[in-house]
Amino acid sequence: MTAYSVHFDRGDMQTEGAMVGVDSEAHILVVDDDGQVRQLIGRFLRENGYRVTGARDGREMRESLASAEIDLVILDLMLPGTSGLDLCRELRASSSLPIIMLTAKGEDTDRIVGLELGADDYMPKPFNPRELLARVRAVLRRAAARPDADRTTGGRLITFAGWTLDTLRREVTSAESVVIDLSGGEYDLLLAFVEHPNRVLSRDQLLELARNRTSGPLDRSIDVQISRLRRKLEVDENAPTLIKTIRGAGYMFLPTVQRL
Amino acid sequence: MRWLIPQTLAGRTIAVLLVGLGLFHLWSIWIYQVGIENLLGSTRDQQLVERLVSVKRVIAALPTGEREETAHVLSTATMEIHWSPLSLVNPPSVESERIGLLRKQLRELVPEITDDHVRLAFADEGTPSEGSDAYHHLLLASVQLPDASWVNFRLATFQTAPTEHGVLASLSAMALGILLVSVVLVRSVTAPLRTLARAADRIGIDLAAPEVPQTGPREIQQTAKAFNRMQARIKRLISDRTQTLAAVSHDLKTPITRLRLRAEFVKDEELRQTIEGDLDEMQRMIESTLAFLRGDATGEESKTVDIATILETVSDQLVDTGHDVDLAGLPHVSVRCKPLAIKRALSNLVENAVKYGRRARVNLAERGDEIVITIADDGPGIPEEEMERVFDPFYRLEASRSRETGGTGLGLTVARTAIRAHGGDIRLHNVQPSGLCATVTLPKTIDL
Repeated sequence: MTAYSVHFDRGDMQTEGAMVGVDSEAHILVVDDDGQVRQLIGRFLRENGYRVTGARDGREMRESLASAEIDLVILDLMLPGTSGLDLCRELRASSSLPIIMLTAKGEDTDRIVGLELGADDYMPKPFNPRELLARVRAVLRRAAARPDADRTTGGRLITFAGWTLDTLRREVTSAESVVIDLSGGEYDLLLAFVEHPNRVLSRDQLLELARNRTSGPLDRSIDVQISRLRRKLEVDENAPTLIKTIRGAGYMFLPTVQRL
Repeated sequence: MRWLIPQTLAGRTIAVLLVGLGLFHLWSIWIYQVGIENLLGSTRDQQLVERLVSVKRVIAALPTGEREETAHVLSTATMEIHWSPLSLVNPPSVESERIGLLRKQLRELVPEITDDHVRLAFADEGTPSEGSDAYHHLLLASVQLPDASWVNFRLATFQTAPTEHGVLASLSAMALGILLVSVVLVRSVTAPLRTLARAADRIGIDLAAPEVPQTGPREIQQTAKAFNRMQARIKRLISDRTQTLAAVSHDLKTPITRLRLRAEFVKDEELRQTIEGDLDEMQRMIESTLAFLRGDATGEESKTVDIATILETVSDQLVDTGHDVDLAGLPHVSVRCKPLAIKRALSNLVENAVKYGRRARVNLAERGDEIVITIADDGPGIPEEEMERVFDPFYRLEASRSRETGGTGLGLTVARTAIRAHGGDIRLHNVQPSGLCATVTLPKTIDL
């Protein structure tokens, strides 16, 4: 661990593996040229049970990757020298290491470019730290659940009952190519269903699976979210054909799901 | 009298030309006419006198019996000659100036004819047929022969040609000519000025308007040049300010990110939540400022979207934060648009409704080729005279400023810009008994 300390401009950014949380001690590399942001993200993630290493540019990132086992990279788009997008492309060319992009630009096109280059998720600055934590968890969970090859070779589009879910754009389209606007929570819930079709999922399981977003006091119950999803997707929300209520147990996603 | 003065530069120039040249023309015609008159008059009088004298001599040389007959033979269309023992002319008591002149010439030519032997008069002065118009231009003359008989002349040639019609015709022809030529010429001279005026108008609306062509007279070229320089300066000024504002807004994102992270380490839950609330507000301000500055420049691609689901997401989000939003109308309407821009616009309107009007009633309907979204609230409404001003950037109503409701005064500006870029519009009107209603119209089929 002391091996990386040469890359840090601040001692407190050094990796510590002492705190082990629910998601075990996954090792996260934070690449950001702003020392304070790097330090604060590090401290925040460490308090939540992750091991964190910081890097201020592409060179330090490569050194860290070479000397340690990294599970996830949080990569800022604007970096001195090689840009975040180029680093993302470089990483993707050699591995399927999960990447979460950070950017202060906030333009929709940046997001799409970043995701198409192979980033697993995207967060515009300024972000809510707890949302970042949720995304980190979700990305790590998905990476663990899927074999390495799966993420890079397709799987971006998921179809069910005429609908298409684009996991990069976080977008749902009808058979007539009409985009349905979903809130973040609704999208995450739908993704949880789509990834676990034909299985009875309890409210607790759904809450856990769809926990990409902040789960603050403002989040409505799973029931409310499901009724909103039905209103947007079902032909008749009173006679659902997509999400069925299993009395006393939870919900089940009925359509056949296909990954493209 | 003011209405007589033309309003345009071209009109005034034409008027000056017309009046100036018209006066000049009249004056020269008058000079010419007087000259011709004098010349013709003296020549004619001389000829007349010569004829009188020669006729008199011929008749005087004849025997009395042949005199009347010869007089008839010598008569022409313009001069009737009679011989009679008595004078047929009663001389007027006062001779006119013209007659005096004639008599003088007569004396110069034939000194042997004395005044007593000649009687001259105009037909209306000296003959039996007084007051008759027909004789007004007739000169009557009697010359006494040596044997005391008289040769009488009646001359129709004495009419002066009526020149008034000629002057009038030539004057109007000239005026028409000046008018036609000067309309063409003056308009072409002032055309660059009109272009300049139009360009000045355009730049008020669109700063990216092309430069004014630097053509025409030198003064106008200079004006156009100065105008182009001014346009460039304004453009630079605005773009500098826009960039500064955008850069500041953008740079604020990093400190806010840090603050958000730092807030996570605040142990006091209540304090942490207030800090987060402030940060949320700052973030919203920055986002609306950036959205306003970007305007149409967003590279967002257009998609066919179910606009009903956008309204649902917007309403649900506000309902979740404890607001009263009621959504009604069509359950699904697809429209081709830039979804994020439309979502931001609708979200701004519904947020305003709950913020200033306590409660939002949103309705989605179709009317012909248009989608009509109405967002009504229960608030105090807006004074009529403020209806348009509230769309101005950074403009905030007094009520909103004093109520500490936050916001940048850009919400409506951004919303209208986005909706108008889609070929639609937003209109506001007050509703009874109290409240404001925003009506958004969006064409269903547009090319973006």
